[in-house]
Amino acid sequence: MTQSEMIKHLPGRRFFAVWGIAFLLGGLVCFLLVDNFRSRLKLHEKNKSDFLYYTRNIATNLEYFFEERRFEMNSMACSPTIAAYFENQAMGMSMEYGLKASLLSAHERLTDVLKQRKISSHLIYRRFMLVGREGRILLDCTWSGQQAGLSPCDLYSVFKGKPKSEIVLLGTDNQCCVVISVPCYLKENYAATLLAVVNTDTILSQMGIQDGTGGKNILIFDKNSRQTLNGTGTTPVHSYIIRKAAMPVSKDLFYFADAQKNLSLCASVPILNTPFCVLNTANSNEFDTGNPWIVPTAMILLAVMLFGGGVFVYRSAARNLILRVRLEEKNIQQQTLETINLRLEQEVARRRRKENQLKEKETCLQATIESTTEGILVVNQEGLIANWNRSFREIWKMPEIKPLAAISEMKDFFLEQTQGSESFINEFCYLQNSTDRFSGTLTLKTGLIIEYYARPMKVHEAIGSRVWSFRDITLHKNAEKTLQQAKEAAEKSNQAKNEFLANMSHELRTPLNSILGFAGVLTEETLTDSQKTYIENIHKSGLALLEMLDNLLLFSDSESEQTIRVVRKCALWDIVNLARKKMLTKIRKKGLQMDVICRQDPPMTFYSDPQMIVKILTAILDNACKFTEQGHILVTISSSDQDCRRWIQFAVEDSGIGIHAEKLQNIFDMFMQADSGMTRKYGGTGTGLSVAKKLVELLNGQIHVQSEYGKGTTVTVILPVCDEHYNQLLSEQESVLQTTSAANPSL
Amino acid sequence: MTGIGESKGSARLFMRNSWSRIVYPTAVLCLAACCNSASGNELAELKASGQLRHLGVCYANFVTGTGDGLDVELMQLYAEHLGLKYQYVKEDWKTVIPSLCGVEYAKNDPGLEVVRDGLKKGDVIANGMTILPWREKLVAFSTPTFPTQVWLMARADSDAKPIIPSGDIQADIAAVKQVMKDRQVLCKANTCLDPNLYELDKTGAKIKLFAGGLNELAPAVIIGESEMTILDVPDALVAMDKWPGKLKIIGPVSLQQEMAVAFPRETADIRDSFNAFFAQCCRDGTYIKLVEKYYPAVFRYYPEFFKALVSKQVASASER
Repeated sequence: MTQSEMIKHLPGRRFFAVWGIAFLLGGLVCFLLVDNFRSRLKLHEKNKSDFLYYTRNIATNLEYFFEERRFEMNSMACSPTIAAYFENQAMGMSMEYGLKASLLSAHERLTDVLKQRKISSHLIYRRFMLVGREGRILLDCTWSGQQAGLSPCDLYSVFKGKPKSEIVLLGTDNQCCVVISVPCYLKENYAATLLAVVNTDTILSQMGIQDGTGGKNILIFDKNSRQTLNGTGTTPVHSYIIRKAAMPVSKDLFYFADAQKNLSLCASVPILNTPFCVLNTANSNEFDTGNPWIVPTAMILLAVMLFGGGVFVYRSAARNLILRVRLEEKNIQQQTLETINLRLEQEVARRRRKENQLKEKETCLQATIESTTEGILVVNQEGLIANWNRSFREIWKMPEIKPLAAISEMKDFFLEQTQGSESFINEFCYLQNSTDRFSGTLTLKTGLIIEYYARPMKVHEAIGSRVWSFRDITLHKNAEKTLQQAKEAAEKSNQAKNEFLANMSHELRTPLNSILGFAGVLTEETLTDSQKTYIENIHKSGLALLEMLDNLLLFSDSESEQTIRVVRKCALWDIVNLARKKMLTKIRKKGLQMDVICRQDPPMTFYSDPQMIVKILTAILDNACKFTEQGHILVTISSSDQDCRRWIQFAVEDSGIGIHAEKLQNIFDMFMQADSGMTRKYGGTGTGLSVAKKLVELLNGQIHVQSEYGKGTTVTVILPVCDEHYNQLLSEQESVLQTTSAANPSL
Repeated sequence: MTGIGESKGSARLFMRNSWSRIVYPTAVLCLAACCNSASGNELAELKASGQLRHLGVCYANFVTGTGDGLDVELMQLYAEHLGLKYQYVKEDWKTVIPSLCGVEYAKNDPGLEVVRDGLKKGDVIANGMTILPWREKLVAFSTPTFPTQVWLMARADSDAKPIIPSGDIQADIAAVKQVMKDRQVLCKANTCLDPNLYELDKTGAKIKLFAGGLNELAPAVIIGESEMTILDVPDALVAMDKWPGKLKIIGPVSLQQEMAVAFPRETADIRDSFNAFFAQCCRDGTYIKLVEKYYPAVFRYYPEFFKALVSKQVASASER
């Protein structure tokens, strides 16, 4: 059966509409029937509830009634009028006077109560009796208009000696009466019992029975004695009902059927705080709800109809649903196939794009490989040549390489080219699968020096192939060799220069000392003025020359690293005064002012090389004096703690000519002055600051220059110093120094 | 207040006996000698006996006959104060004083006469005993404990009208005696309600001596035995409470009197001990609470007595 045929056989809307309306009508009828039945049940329950409620109301009324009577009698029993009798009796008064008067008062009081207590024209009490503890009747009050009911003997025989408050129903089948008793106490001792016979008419009026004209089947019965109190006109009540109602497990409402099959509804409600129950009976026809089988039968028929229709509709709907589900499954399968087809087309397009991208990358890679000057060869895991570039063929002078040629087959060629380098051939031809990296240098048969480097190429964490790179380093090696030769020549030349300078200095100093010495001697001789002038010029020139030689010698020593630091304890002011003293003549001669100030509490003693510091300060001060025509030279000494060390700082500030900013970077170069004209004007060789810098570096210090052209220059020297804790190190240093001096006496 | 009860020997018989005139002074001297033969250690002996014997007669609310009463509770407190066991000894008006003194006596016209020695049954009398001169010859009274007076009472349906107080007690008594004229008044001979004590025979009233008990005067009037009676205050207050609306107070017949606790004359230290105890009860309010319990109405008639009682005891305590 095709899909269209299946759809044709499906039930139509009309079918479902007819059946739906039928079910709705059936449900509505069913609902109405059930609702009617529920309403009748509710009515029945309500009638029963009202019946019970009415009975409970009577019981509550009687409970209040008896409670009020009990309270009233308690009040009378405790009244001073009755208590006076017992008090007088305790005091020993005679019956002739004291007790008689008390009884008369009590009798009057009880008679008043008897006459005055009424409920709706009915007297409440018919009789009062006061029965003594020993059983003697002390008082018996009846009103002449009332029947006394039971005889006094009947009453006190029941309550004699019972100090208990209770309510009982006494009497015979023809005449019953309710008796209430309360005990009388004299100072908490039982003295007598006060009895009251309650008027039956009053009780019946509380039950809603007026003057015996009521037709209701209500009675009071005593659960203990089964005595009953009926209003006149009530129908006799079967004793079985009373027995059933008196049972402790009996329900409030129950049905009772008499011998004539008449069903009665009975309500039994206890009167609280009394032994009585109120029993109310009614004909059960008043609560009839009709034949109970009609509604269940109608409901069963409707249920059968609804069940049959439901099964039919269910089967039709189920078949319809199955067909629809199958159709739906077909549609879903078709849509799934279309979706898969579309995804496949998209995957093909994506792969094509990737393929093109790969081709482009391969081309780019090949071009890159070809463009490099290094020779590159890729050998796969099987030892076949996978790729190479043009530089590789040029380096190795290979005319042609076949793709995927075995590298081992080319072993002889490479062996010849490398002039028998077995280690390279071994690595190159047989260790393709090794994870090691190879590198080395080869000298080929052609004279080329090449550097090779091989590394494994991993694909997915496995060795896929090995990449060999070869670089021609022939030119680099040649240049390196040339530079080494030039360096060695320069070092030899510098050594010669230093040796020359040292030798020349020594050689010049010897005659110069003679010149200076003899010039000094001549100045003490008697000479003419012009001769003295000549001699002084000779002396000055000699001194200048000596100074220059000293600087040259010092610079030479520092260049050749022959200057040795001698660390010892230094006194700050000794160093400063020594440098100042050396410069004092020049400063005074130029009319300059020189000030030395201390800031930040510099250490007065420390450990360093004092001679070097004096030379540094002298060189800087000499420089400052030289380029300062007027003004001042200010030496500022300060200290600081940096990098866990103590530093002492000497700043020499002058008001000289200053230096151009662009000249500052060359100020420490040897034989360099700021301006070439300055040499002529100020003299000097341009070695002072260079020597100072060399010495500062030997002391591991720093030197800086700040200057403003035309205003002055400040040269700052920062030197590390050691404190007392360095004493031990100093002793070691001195021991080393002594050892060195012993080995080299010239130092 | 209350009397000795019915004495079998009447006064006239004694008067006829001239021999008694010779014996009387001797008897009084003997009685006084008995009373003065105090050793001074009676309190210690009482404590050594371990119990306090309370001689009482059922009267008003002093001794009710049911184990309580104003004087019963007072004596129970006193026994507790002394650390003794309390014991009540029931007596009547005739025997209560002989039981205290240990001698039997007769009250005749010239005075008291010792008849014979008797048995000493108790240590103290406390039942609302009025302080009267002849009683003071036999017993030693404590500090006054309760006020009293003799009132004329009438049945409620009597046409006799209560007097209007004038502020003068003598004038009021005269006015009451005027009311008695030509009316029957019930009295009790040889008691504080003896008509001779108040010269009722001069009032023109028809005096009727009552043969019943002293407590029964009021009910006798109620049941019609007589139109009027004289009653002392505590009894009158109790009668008004027991028979409300049956009796009415016409007015006073006597001046104000006082009641007290009686001790044997030779036991002065016991009496002093009780007086100290009673003073303490007055100061701390115990006694006033007892009076409020048994005679709540008495404060309306005699407020000054209790005010003076408390202030006197407080003053004496501060003096000490």
